[in-house]
Amino acid sequence: MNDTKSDIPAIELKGIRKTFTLSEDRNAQKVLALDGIDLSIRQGEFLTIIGPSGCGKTTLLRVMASLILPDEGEVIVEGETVLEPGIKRAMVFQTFGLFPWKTVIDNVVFPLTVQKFDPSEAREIAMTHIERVGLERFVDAYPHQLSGGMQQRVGLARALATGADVLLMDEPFGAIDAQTRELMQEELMRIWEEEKKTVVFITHDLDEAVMLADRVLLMSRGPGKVREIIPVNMPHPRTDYDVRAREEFADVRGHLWHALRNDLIEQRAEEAS
Amino acid sequence: MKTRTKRDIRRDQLVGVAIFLGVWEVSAQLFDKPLLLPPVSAILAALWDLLISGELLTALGESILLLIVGLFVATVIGFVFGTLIARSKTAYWMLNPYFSALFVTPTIALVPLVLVWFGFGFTGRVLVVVLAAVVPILFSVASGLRDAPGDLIDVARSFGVKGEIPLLFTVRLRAALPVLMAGLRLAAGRAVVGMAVAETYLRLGGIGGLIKSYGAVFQTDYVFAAILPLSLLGITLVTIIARIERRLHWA
Amino acid sequence: MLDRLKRPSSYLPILSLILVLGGWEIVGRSINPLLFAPPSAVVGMFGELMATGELQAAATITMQALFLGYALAVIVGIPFGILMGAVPRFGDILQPYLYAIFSTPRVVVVPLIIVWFGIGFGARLFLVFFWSAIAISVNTAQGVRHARPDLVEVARSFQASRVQLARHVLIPGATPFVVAGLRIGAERAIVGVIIGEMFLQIVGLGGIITTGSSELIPAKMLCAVMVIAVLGTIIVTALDLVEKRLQSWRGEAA
Repeated sequence: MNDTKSDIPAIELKGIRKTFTLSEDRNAQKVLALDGIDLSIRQGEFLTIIGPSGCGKTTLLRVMASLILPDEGEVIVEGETVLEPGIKRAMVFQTFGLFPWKTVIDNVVFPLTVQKFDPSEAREIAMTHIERVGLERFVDAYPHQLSGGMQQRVGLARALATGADVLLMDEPFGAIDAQTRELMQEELMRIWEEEKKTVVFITHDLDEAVMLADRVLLMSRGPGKVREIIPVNMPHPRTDYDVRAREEFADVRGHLWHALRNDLIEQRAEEAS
Repeated sequence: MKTRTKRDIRRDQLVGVAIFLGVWEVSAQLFDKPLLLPPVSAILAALWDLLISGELLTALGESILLLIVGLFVATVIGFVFGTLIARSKTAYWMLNPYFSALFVTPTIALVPLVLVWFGFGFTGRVLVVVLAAVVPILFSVASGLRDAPGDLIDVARSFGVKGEIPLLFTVRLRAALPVLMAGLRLAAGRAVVGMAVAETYLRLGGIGGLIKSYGAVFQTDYVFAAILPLSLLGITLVTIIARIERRLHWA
Repeated sequence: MLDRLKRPSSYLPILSLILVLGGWEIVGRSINPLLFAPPSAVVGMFGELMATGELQAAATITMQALFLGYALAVIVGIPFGILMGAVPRFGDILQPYLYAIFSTPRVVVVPLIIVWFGIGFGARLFLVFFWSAIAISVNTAQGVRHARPDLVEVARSFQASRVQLARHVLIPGATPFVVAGLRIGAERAIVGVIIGEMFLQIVGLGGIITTGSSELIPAKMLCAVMVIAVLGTIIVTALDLVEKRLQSWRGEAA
């Protein structure tokens, strides 16, 4: 392990500000989505982001992915300023984002095709990752033939196949049933342990946020600001014990719960006035 | 990529139309063959003349009457037979091939036969419109009723709706409404074509007849002028139905 | 094979066909032959027309205009549609005209076509080509325009170039629309060729209907109508199958 390298933050955000224009006429409402975000994410860290609806967490992730360019501020990935998507970052989408006209393997191969890999090499790499997520029997299936959980596993395999160091995950298990979700959380943890990726994970599920994270980023109600960053000091691997029974878990979770509750109460009060 | 607002689109279209008409007028004047390409001014003059003389309104009235009667009859028949083939597999297997065949046969090909059997009367013309429009309605009724909203049926039953006919009207038809409107939209387009065909072929009346008679004497400017309201009729009818269709889409 | 016949889906259509033909025959015989013709007469006429070669010749003429017109419509329609879709401004400006032409019944436009193209193969070809091309263009444009934005974003996140985006996202996404356009275009082409043959230049299968009408031989008319109906069914069914094949990835959610 190269010490100097692991000192450089995986992602650094400096002074990120982003405003959206709501509609297309001249008198359009402008919404300040992100209001000065500064953040430093360590390599190999698992950061979860949670916050009330409309706090800008999805926007923040997209800025990290360079799918959206901030109006102000810089995004720095492993020491270099980035202005567009790159191979060091791979995204996993809430709605899976699989191409319905491509089979599982073709979907996983896609990023490698874009990078102009040799086709047979690309297929080999893809197969490795498809096996990783346990879908080797569905290699030639089409997305519509797969369940939600399986589709997201393909999405995950695809992101992993890029070899990216940073995984940006936008509520990846939101559209999946509870039981499958637990399995996928475990799988994700396992892969994270093995591959030492940096993961930025958006969720609206409090349990999930605490259970998976090294640190939890709590965002304030819009305009988006970093309200608090809470470390979670439970040992890894988290799959070896009953996380939810730990006092640490209850503490952090309770803290988050109260914070979010207050936000909601404030918001309702504002709306009523 | 900057998104285009509806206003941008309308603006571009209006500018486009203005330029188009301008170019047409100028080239028509230069070309000076009013038979082949009547200038926009001549067409507008012809249109005005048709309006004032009452020719246009009379013709339009006849056409719309034919259209409405034809669509009405087509809807009734479409509902009856559509329901029939949706509820009875036997009926479906026995009748469906003929409906499909009717759908793919150009209405125009059937008109001479209608002429032979019904002569030049109103009945014949209505029949042509019906033949053109009935199948889309029929198929959409059948499709809408076939995809029965199981849950909603149970809900209705639990609130005391008894019997097939009440269920049909309270739940099934209402649930099938979007599909029905889609079928009606398609039928309306075909009905306008049927109407034009019937008028051109079966009797020189209505807008179709008007166009044909001016075409026969090669008054191209009048032909254009008369085609305008016909196109507008078709477009308006289909647009109205499409709007209703959009409103009904709760999914 | 016999097992297959026992299924209602097989024997019922046959049964109804027998009933229909039977009823038709009985009714047909009792009506004035100038007004109506029983199936036997139609079959007889079919035989006659085949023997003289008239039917084949007519069918050939119809097919020529139909296939050439449709082929041209596809060759012109798809690129034009792509252009309309890729350059929204262009597509938007053109849309009202295309829609207006599309909504105008061709029967009434025939006088104009005669004035411009005369009475001949070219005129009939135009009648087939133009309306078919519009259907294909409009649908293709729709396919190009309605690329799923979420999938475009996915491709972007993996750094796809514009060409790669077109190849992996835009074109496959547009295919269902293009195929639907091809099917609608074919239907329009069939109608177009018949209109041309009945009104513009009395030839081909449509021409047989018209001559049968003026000669007061319903059997001839019915015969031609039957052939057209069968042809139409074959073409549309074939295209339906192609459409379904190309959409196997859609599954139920089509």
